[in-house]
Amino acid sequence: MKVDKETVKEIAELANFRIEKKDEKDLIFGMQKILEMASALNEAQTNGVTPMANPHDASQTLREDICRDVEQRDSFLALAPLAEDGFFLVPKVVE
Amino acid sequence: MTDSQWETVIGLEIHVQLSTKSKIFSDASTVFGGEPNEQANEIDLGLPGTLPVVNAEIFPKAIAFGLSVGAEIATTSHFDRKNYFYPDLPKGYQITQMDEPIVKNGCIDIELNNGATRTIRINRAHLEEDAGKSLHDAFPNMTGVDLNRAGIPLLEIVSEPDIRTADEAEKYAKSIHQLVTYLSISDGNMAEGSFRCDANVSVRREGEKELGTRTEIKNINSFKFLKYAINHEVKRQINLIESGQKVTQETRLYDSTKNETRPMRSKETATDYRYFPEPDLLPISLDQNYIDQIKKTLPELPLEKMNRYAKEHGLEEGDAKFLSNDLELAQFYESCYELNRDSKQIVNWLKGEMFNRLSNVEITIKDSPVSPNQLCDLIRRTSDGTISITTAKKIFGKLWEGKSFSVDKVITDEDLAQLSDGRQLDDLIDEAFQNNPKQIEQIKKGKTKVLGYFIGLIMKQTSGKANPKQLNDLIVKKISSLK
Amino acid sequence: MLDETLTEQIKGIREKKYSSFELTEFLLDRIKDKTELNCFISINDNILEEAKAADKELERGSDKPLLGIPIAHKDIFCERETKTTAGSQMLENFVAPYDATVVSNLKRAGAISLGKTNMDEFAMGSSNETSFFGPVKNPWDETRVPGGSSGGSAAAVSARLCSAATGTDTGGSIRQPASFCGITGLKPTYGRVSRWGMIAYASSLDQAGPMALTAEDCAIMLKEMSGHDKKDSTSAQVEVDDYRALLSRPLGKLKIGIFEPLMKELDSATSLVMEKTIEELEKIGMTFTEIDLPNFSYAIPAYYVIAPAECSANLSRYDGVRFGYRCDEPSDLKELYQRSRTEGLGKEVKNRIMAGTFALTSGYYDAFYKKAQQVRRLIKNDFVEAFKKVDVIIAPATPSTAFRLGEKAGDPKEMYLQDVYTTSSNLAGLPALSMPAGFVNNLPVGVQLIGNYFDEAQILAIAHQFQSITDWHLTSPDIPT
Repeated sequence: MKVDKETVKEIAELANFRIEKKDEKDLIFGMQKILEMASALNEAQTNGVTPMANPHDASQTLREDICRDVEQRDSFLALAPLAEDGFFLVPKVVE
Repeated sequence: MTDSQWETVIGLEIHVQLSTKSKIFSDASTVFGGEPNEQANEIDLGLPGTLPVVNAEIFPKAIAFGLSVGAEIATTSHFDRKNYFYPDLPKGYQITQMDEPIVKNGCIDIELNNGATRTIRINRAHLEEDAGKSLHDAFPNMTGVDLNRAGIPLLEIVSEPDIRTADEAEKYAKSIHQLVTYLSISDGNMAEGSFRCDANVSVRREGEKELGTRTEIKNINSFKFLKYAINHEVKRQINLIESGQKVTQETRLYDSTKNETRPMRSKETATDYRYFPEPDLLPISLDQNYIDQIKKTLPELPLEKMNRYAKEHGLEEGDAKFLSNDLELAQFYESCYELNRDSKQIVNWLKGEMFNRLSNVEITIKDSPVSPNQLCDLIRRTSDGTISITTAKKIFGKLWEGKSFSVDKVITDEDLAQLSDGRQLDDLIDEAFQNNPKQIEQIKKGKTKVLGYFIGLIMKQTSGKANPKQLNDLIVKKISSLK
Repeated sequence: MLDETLTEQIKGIREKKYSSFELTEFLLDRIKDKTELNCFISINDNILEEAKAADKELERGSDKPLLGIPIAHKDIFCERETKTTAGSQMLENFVAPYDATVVSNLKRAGAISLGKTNMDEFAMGSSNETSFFGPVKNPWDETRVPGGSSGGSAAAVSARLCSAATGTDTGGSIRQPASFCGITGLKPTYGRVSRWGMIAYASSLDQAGPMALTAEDCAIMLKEMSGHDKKDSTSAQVEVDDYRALLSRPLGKLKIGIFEPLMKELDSATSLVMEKTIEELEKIGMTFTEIDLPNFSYAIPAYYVIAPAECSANLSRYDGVRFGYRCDEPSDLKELYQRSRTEGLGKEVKNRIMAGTFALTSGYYDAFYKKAQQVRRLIKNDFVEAFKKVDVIIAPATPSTAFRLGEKAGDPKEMYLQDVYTTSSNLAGLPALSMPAGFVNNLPVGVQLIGNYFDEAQILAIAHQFQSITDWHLTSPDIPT
């Protein structure tokens, strides 16, 4: 598994990172190391094994459909880097 | 398409908001129209450390839909994360169902204009959370994000590409809309975003096996626009191909003011959604008994209702269909029918006065100011001859405007009751005959037209309140006795 | 007051040897003396008031089990009106409007919060060097790391800045620092403790647990931390044992499983510690049997797919929109996202997000993510088989003693191998603890006990009975052996 510049660029696009030239090598190295560790999985015999997403074979418990008022809007908005008139603000998006 | 050498292939993805009190993964309210972000709690905002908890209410609703379209209901299903960044998607992923949707392989029949029916297959229906809303025009150079809708429960219904025309697409969407409102799993309110369509559209030359490149038109929120958008998109694609260009696979937006579709810039970049099982939630297991229980309590669907109205209420097929097409209308009708078995009269009122009034205002029959009780009082008073149809319509108007609440009280207060007292009418007729000897002479000569003269005279005397039929009968009787 | 265990502090306060206020003042002074260790990211400014209130509550006859006990929380647990940073610049100023269930459970038990401990950024690291707030130093040797990611909690307990702290363990983040700092740390069964309000690294692996000097102290803490929580769907609906009451019960002849290949990898000094531990355990009646865990070697590879994959999604919410770090003057949305995330998140976190994003892309999903999930089941099945033969499994906690600061910075792979003995119990969801078992070159060495599902009581009891005949757990870094 060889990570190249092109891959890093594509993945960074998906993960929403901006890669400066100076960090590119580091990032390729870092990613490469993790994927190298992971590559040992190839040798495992997994034919017919059902993937396991959670350690317990339990099933979901459900919540009753009851609603509760949101009383903390102001404290939530206060966490935002930029908010006005109750809205979170981001640079204008053109749909 | 008018050009017969082209075939259009359409698949619809319909997002239906399930009517629940709280959101799919949080206990914030789903009520429409709150102040921005007033209905977004820490889970909806995706604050660090928060976790989703599934609302039980979404399952009976999704299952009811699945059963009504003859689909398979998955006894085990799970939620997945769909990863992408957008300001109205707080966690950077949407919790949805990818490879184990709760509903699979159903179908629904639509009726074509020529009366024939076509079956549209439904590939799947899955549960997911809605995103928030972005406001692009409220702030200079900024987009405002309101997350009240984030986490609203949706059932996304995905059809197979079985639809061939914009007209069929509209009919299919209307059938689904009727079904979900009938099942009361959604209010279907399109203006409020409770029912939205995405259309996948492609064209190919007649006889070709391969599907053409498709485009996806997003977020269409009216049946009319659905039709317009598809027609426009089909034309655009054919023009492209005929001029030697290619259709690019992309997401487009329908602009209703310009009646055109345009590429959605924000979704330009190729996306890999990197679906994987949502680790914050466990698989959903549904008991077959639970599913069977829901099956037993499914409400009567439109076709069954129509047949019942025709058979048991003795309505004509047209009238039965008129009523059963709309659940609220059917419910109103049935409330009336409980009070008064004169089904024909009820339908006439609903088709006439009620329909006319409703078409002028923005409310549905559920919120009609005239209640089934009041309408039945009106019908009773016309049937028993207390008032004429004309008067009844006047009273309907007063009730509608909220000027009065009791039919009988209006009749008394405004002295609107018909004069149906035979003796009183007799006296009036006798008096009229005595005062008009000339006309009596003419009658005796066989000129029956003079009858109308007397009716008019007495109507004038009673300010129109004389029961016209009774008056007519009495005069005819009196005249014949003169001969 | 120095060197007192949680159990002793509870007794001290209850028997009025000292007040909560006095204990708290003592610990605050001690923290000041030890600032160079960099154990805390923030201190609770209000704690003396809370200690006073606890003293009053005691006067009124309250019998809350942890009344007035100052404990420290790993800075991954949200606490109302307190900064919760997860060791990241991204959350440098984040004040959660809610308490983590672990925090509220311990508050309910009467504990007061001393402050928030340093940690590897978003719990990604094994040395505490990835923290935005600087590395923590090992109290046994300040040129060395305390381990990670719960390094601040481990060092704080080890340096006697508090008798107990909370930690989280995704691949070894409680047990490895516990081993490096010579304390006892327990990662409970997945689902034993609620994850609500605990900032997620890898949701299907993360589990909160106690870190303290003794197994008895861990037992006391665990009971208060545990239980089903309606706010966490993955928290188990299994009754919580009275772990402390079960500590001294006769264990009979329990069978402990040894997976031989793990022992062979150890250097001779650590091997010796392990052998001695086995001898001590035999003294309290344990017997040892060999077991086979055929897929054990795949634990690290599977972990380094699953954890990065889950974290790549879990950390998407850090986008500079609703909370957290936002870059200056972004020209458009894309720049807002990219720069906020790139500037606000550290290198190791970005590496893992990148690797995890990659492992989930449609072209690689089957070879990486799906394969890792299949291997995960195999690993679980191996343990299930093993637990048919034995009651508990013994294993090393770490491949070495605490290494020097910066020593492994150049090679992430070496750092990742720190988790070689620990990740398998996270993948399988099993409870495991690390207990102090000896020293190599004056540095503590921990030994790991892995228990069966929801049987924390058993590994705690074994550790407790081991600690009743050894005193490794009471050796303080101020007076090294």
